[in-house]
Amino acid sequence: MQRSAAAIDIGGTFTDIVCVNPDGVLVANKVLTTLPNQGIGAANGLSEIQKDLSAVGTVKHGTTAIINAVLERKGSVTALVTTAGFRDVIELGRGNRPRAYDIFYKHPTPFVPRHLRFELDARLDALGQEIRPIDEAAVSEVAGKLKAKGVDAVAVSFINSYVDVVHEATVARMLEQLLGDDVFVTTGSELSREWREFERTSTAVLNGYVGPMSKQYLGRFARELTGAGFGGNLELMQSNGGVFSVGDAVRQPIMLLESGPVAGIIGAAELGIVHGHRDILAFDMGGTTAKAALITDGQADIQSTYFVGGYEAGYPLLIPVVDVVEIGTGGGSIAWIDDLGGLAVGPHSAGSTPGPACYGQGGTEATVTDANLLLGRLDANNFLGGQITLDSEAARQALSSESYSSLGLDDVRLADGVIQIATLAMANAMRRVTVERGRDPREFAMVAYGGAGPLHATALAEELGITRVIIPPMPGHFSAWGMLNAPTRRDFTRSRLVILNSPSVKGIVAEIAELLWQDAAEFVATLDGEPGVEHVAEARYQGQEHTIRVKLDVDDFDIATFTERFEHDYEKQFGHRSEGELVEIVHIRLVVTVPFDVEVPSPSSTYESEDAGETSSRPVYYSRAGWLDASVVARAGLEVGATLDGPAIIEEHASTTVVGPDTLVTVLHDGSLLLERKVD
Amino acid sequence: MATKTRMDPITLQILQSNLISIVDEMEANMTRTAYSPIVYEVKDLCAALLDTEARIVAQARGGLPIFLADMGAPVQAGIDQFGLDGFAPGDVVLVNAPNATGQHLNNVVAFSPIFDGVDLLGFSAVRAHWSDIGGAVPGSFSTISADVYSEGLVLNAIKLVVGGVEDPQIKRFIESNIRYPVATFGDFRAQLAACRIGERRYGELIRRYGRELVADGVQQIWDRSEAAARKRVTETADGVYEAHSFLDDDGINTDPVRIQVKVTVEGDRMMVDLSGSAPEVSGNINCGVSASTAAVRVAFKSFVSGDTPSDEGSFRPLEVHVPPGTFLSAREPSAMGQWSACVPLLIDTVLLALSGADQERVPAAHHGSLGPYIWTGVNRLGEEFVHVDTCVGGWGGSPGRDGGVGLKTYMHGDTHTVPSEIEEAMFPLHVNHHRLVPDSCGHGQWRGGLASEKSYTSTGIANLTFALERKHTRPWGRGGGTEGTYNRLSQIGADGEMLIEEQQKGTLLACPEGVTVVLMSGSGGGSGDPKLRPRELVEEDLLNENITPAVARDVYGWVPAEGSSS
Repeated sequence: MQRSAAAIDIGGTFTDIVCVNPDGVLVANKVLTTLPNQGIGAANGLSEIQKDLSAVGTVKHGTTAIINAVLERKGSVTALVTTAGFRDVIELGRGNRPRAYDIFYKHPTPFVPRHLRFELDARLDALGQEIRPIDEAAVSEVAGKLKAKGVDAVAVSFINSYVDVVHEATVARMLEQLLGDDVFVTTGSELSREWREFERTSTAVLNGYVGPMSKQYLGRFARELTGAGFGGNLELMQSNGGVFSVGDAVRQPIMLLESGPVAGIIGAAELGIVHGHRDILAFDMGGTTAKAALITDGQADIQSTYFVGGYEAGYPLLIPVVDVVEIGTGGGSIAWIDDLGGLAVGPHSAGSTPGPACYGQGGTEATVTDANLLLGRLDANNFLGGQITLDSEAARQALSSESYSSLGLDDVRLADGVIQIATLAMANAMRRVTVERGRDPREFAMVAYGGAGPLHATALAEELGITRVIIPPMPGHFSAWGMLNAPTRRDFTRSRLVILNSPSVKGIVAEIAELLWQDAAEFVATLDGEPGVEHVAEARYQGQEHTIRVKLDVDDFDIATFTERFEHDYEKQFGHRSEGELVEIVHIRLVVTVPFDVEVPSPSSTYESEDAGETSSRPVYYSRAGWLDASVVARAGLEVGATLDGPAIIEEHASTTVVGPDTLVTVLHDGSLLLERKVD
Repeated sequence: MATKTRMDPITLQILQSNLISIVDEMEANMTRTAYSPIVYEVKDLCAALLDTEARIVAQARGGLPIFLADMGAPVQAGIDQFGLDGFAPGDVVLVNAPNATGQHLNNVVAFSPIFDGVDLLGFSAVRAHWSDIGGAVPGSFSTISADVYSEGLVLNAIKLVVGGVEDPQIKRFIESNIRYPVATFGDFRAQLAACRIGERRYGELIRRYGRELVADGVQQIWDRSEAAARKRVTETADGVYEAHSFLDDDGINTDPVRIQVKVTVEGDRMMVDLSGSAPEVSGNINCGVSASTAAVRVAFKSFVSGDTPSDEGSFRPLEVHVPPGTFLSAREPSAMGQWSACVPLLIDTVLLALSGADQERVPAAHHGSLGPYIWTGVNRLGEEFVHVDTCVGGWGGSPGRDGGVGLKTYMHGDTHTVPSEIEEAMFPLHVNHHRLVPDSCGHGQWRGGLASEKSYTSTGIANLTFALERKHTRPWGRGGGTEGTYNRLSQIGADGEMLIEEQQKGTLLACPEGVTVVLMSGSGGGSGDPKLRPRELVEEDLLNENITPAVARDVYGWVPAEGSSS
């Protein structure tokens, strides 16, 4: 008997749960999310598949509750305490206008209004030398004002605190004492040691903004699990692809923002390794969006500046987030005629109400799902395991609507157009994570999941020239499975310009590595066993702004070796190198990980309960070939090692896999489907 | 439309999306590998694909908005020089001649022919601002140059790369005449790599769809863009709309420099006539026709529809007339170092004219000063440095909304200011503050955005070159709103004495250790009568100290609630 573990992935509508029970068997459950207390549904849902919660050693949890609080602006009244002369930094931003030609443009409204931003005269210079000390009386005065304003959270962020945290830490400690436990106090430098005051202050402010509600949420969630008998470790999924303790999560809730999408990507990396592919394109498509991420050598790439709500929304966070490109193309995306008279798909979505026209809930605009239904790619009677019967006639009406008549296409060609445009939008998103970074998508295998991923993976792979697609078992639950696999992880970064031009550099790199190790000490002390340690440098040619990430050997640093590695990676990404020019390191990141020590079986075991069904066939429309007679099989009926020639449709509870006419399907040992396109 | 429709609407959409993805990829690659902040941060670059007639097939969307379908003229200059049969695979041509570009010499276009076997298909082109192109001052950026020869090297269609091989003599010649050859040739390599991406991907596209189909498709795309733009123009009330404004001076003489705009809307056509604008000036704020045309196009696009792609068709409804001999239609050897000084004001003025046709679609004026400032000197390591940025300020109010703050100008897009922390780490500068200036806005029912102020104290050897505007024609208000404030610099000595109370332009102003300069931007104009501003907004402004109680009372007619202490 092994230790039991569970992952609970909570979205706005559904809560996905997977659990390895004490016999080492994987069980899964999908329940409705309960509001306002999501913990009730989660605890009940887990109890349904694992009666004795006291046997569960670890629960990993990801939630959309935190990001939704930011997007819906439902966080706490938050104040900012900052350096004298800089309280407007969060309002002035970086001066940029993401929407060129918008003469009404304004920066997004800051989460702290000007009257809640307070200045202190303390100041460090860029080398960390103190120019002016902290005036304790002034801090007390600010604390008095904060009390009078009744704020729930305070972010402390000073200029140059990326060099030395002393001012921020001291002021935060004083404020904590003066304001008491009811006020959440956070600092920029405990979240990021990178330079750029706007971005770091924005990070601190958002951490403060979600601090009180996250603390409440996590407390409530833990209580529900405990009440149901759980006595193990509760760990939270972070945007960097790892989990951390609930205690850390309470201090740094901002790390939880992208936990759901990131968990799927970790799963895709894991699945790729199982099947011998270390270079993977993860493709996740749901009802409203599609997401793509690049996994190289078994690891997802990390971006160090992330914009919550998208780049145009303009709230940057200097936290490590798995590099995901997200676009507004999902099953519910609406087809419309743009300003130029062309067909466009998304980002407007029919959502769940009214939903696509074929849901028969009053939707009249054609969506991607309607197009899939009309083209025979979805079965009206077998959607979500037959829970919903789709209305084919409503789909046809939507696609014959007057609003598309200017295109002069019949319903089938329009439906095919909708699929092609959606595919192209997704292909372009994938090009952004591959071609624009110097990677050839043809060298990758695609892992497709999410409710709609397997429906579109074949066409997308063809557009990108990808020949191998892997569909995991239970693609609709895949994020929860990925979460269960996630390692414990923290990232630590220091900014310092190191020009690689003298032997003394080796000492400087060692010095920064030592500082990073000090930053990590508290976290490392909580870990069982020896952590995995990796250093990554963000480096560039001297004079450039943008950096690339290069693996760094801090114990045995050598300029020539590092420079060669940098130039190799640089050339791979950009197609040229500048030999002989100086390279500089801007940031060094330390990644500390501990792999999860519980064996997580493949999700395929969950199929056993499903009905195998019989093989049949139906006409399915393919873009190049037109209508073909495709065999239709139930996924549960496919045995390991079985093969199947396209054209085919493979159906399961919450997903449908479309197999192209020139494609061979093989059922892999863990129940995953391998779709191989025969290249002519 | 004359074109035969061979491509179905879906394939056409896919072709257009592919074309845009090619130029976006060119630009992304250029941005990521550039050496000069002005390229990677200021986005002073632009990428395009052109056909063999130098018409824009697609142009990237991320660069400065001013670079709008304006790559045709420099490529045409190359075609004129070599003839269509004068190109071979692998060639790269450089053009910065103002007669072709209308801009300053720093803006160098590199373009390369795209071949399918022996057949020329078109051109891949990338413009980037080179940090230095020679001439009298570092960065080739002064406010006092008087002819093009003192501004740097004129590259009039020079083949730097012939058949894939760089010409060592030309390279040596350029290297020997510019100040930062390493960074500049770094930027050039980035341009070159981006051109190659365009060549490769356009070639792939042609192989996938066939030449004829792509050519027909491109025609259809242009026709579609044209039809969409014409539709928007038709929705604008017919009439003749005029406006004028003045730039402060030309950098040498102190006379204000007139911009005259006459817009005629007639059905689906819009004519913009700049006749009556000042003659060519002896200072360097001249620009060529292609630059003033681009500024008018920015105004046109901002007015009719900002979110459609820019191509040859989108501007067919717009006819721009700039008579010869004006400072907006200058020719060599006129100095054009500050070619873009006029652009924000010219855009504002065209929009002001257009507001006669539709109030709702135009805000009050924005701070409208390009506001470049360039620090040069010696950094902590004893090396020479250049640091370029432009001021941010307030934008105009409009019915229903206050103007924004902390923004560059209408000619800027996704352009970032340099963070104070990076300035302090890399340059001998201490930033004292960067803050909003209370009461500075143009007032109105919907007020303008506040001005902002950035204060630096030198901690070593530093000189500042700067060019600010809008003292003469201040950011106007509309419909009873008041005008905004203008951009200015002041300088304070190490022991606190005022050295410069207020100045708009300067070249290599010495700022030794301890000397402070304060750059105060302009603010946006207000819209509507301030007395009509909702009380809760006035009180919110008071709470946030955007305005003082005196202004609240005197300008907005605010009366404190009874029993209130303010």
